[in-house]
Amino acid sequence: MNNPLKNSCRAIRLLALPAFLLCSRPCQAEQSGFISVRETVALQDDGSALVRSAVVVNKSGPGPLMLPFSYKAAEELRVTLGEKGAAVPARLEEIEGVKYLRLETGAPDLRGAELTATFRVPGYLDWKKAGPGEYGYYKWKSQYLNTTRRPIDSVTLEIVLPAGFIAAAFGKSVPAPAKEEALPPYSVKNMDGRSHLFMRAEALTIGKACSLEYSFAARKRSLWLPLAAALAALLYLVFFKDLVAGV
Amino acid sequence: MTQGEAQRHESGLHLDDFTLAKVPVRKPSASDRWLKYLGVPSAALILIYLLLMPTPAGLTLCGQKALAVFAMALVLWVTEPVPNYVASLLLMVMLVTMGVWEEKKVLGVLGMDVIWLNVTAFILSSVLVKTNLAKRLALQIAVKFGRRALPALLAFLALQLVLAALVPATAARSVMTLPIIMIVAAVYGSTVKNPNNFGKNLALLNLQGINIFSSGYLTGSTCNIMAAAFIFDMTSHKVYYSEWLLGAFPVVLCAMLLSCYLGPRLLFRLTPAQEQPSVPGGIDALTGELRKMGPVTLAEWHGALIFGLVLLLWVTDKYHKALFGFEISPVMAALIGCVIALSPRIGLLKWNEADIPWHLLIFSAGAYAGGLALTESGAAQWLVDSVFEIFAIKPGINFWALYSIIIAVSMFSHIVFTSKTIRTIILIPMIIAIANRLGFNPVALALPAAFTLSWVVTLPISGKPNVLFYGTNQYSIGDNLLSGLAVCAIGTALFILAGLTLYRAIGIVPY
Repeated sequence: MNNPLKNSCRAIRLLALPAFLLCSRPCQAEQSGFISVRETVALQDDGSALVRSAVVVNKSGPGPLMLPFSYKAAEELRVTLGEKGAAVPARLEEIEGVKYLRLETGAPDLRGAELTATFRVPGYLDWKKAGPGEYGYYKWKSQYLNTTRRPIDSVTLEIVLPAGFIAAAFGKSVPAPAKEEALPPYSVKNMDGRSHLFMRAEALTIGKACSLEYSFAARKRSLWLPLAAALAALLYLVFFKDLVAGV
Repeated sequence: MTQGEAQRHESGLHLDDFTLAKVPVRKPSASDRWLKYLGVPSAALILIYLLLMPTPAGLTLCGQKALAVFAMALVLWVTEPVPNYVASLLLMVMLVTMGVWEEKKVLGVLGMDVIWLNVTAFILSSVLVKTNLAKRLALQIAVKFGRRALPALLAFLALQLVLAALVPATAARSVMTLPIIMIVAAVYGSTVKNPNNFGKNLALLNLQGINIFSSGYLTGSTCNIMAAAFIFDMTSHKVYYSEWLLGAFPVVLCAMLLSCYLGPRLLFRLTPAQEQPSVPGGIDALTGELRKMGPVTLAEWHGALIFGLVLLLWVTDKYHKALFGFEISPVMAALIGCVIALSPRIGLLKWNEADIPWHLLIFSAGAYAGGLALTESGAAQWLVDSVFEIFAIKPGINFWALYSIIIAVSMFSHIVFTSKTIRTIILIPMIIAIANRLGFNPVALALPAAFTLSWVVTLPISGKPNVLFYGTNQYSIGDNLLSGLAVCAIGTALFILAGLTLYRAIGIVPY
């Protein structure tokens, strides 16, 4: 049932987050923007996630670079300039309840440079909470939240399902599929034995999220339906033989 | 039965012969019986194969299941080992129990506007039948053009051609002509209980006429306008009414004339007996029957008035907002007509006299549920993508090879889509993107593809008129599939030919 008090609190939180982010210290110090973010979240059997975040930045000022961070924690954090470039000192920083990845980039001019952050998020997927529900489906939601002041031109969130699982269906997404758009903002690609789910968003402004609800199931197929169909076909051929008798 | 009633039965014009509410029983031919016998194993094999194959790259598990269940149902509908409504119910059950689509959504299909439009259409048709207005119009057509089968078919073709230019809603055109078609079919000996090849040809030709003539005019269907808007938004090329007419109409007309000839001569051949009215006394008897009806009765005027009001609301939909401050949808307009028709004193019909084929509505609901599940799960989109992928469309491809592929895909893709709108939204931007990527003029590919969007003639679920016409029991799903594929193949060939000649001349294709 709808709880008006809970809903009001949620609404206040939603309105307050952008306002807070605009006023927060890291944003005021920031002289940067992001051209694109491609965040790959590979779900693991133990519920953790290996995250690889490739960010094309447009930084042209001194000081640290604050990257948006949408998770509870990060372990084994490593940031490089480019795919295999020089390591960039980085740490997780929480300022007034909002988490960022603080990068000491050194070089003031990073226009068009790509930074790659990799880290492990323990307990990202709560298997018990996720399922299995009806039809053996697990349901989960992944999101990328822009906790910075500037809009991100383009965001691609890629979720790689654990080995042995396959994407079953898509649920709600933000942004939602637009009626006038030919394709929904999400898609799936089954490759290298893993299911990859893609969610894209354009011009992600302050406090906005790119999120996707999805369900997935074990790859192992149940045989009861094919067997039942085969049995029904066999019985039909036997008991309806009279249909073609004398033809 | 009185002597008069017996005579009317003999003449094939007894109104009880047009009852659709009861499921008709047909005696199957030898090939029908084999089809029925092999239908269940074939459906099971397809289901098993599609369920057990590895999930393709761009498909979800639900998409794969939706594809498997829909393919199974399609085989069952075509081969008819079980009645089509049973196949539809089975499809609905499987969609829910296999976790493809939510129960609420599957059951909710019965409340969709297309189902309501069917209900209201059958009520309004009953008005035309009860008041004898349909009989009068049918007799007039039969007397004027009905001495031979082909002129009678051509007369209906001409009627649909004119109506398409005046009435943009295909469902409205179906409701208007359906009772007349059924009575003319009966004149040629084809009733609901005992359909023959004339009835098959007449019903299928009208169905094709209603759908395909819509693509002849820019205003013939909402999807045409939507496609033109996409082309303008994405290429800045404004598609004018005259350009559309010049490009689409000649092809549409040629295809329909070919279909009118090929149907009775090749696909569903008419016997010499079916070439002429089968009523005792021939055309003279029909002339006598028309004369016997006397001048137009008050009830007929009353029926025409109710129907005219609904028609007026349908054709003036653009002006509703200015007139009333809100828009009356086609379903609401039909419902207004039904309220009047069923009201005591001011109406004409009692509920028991409304001839509503519920078995058909159940069939439609299941079929729509399957189609929508295909779309929502992304399986329909995946199928279209796969077809383009199979043809390996890469830079360097010959323009005419690409043109032919695009025409064929946009023509036949209606088999897996139940909505012209969704097909337009998916196909037209995709074609423009492909053309841009390969360096071709996007209008040269997107506009001819847009001309094919209304050719939804292959299955009873391909469009609203299709469901209505299938209810006449004049043809089976297999017949619909055969004639639909034939006319679509003709259309594809004609659009390719037009591309090489006419479209070059008028500048649609600058190659």
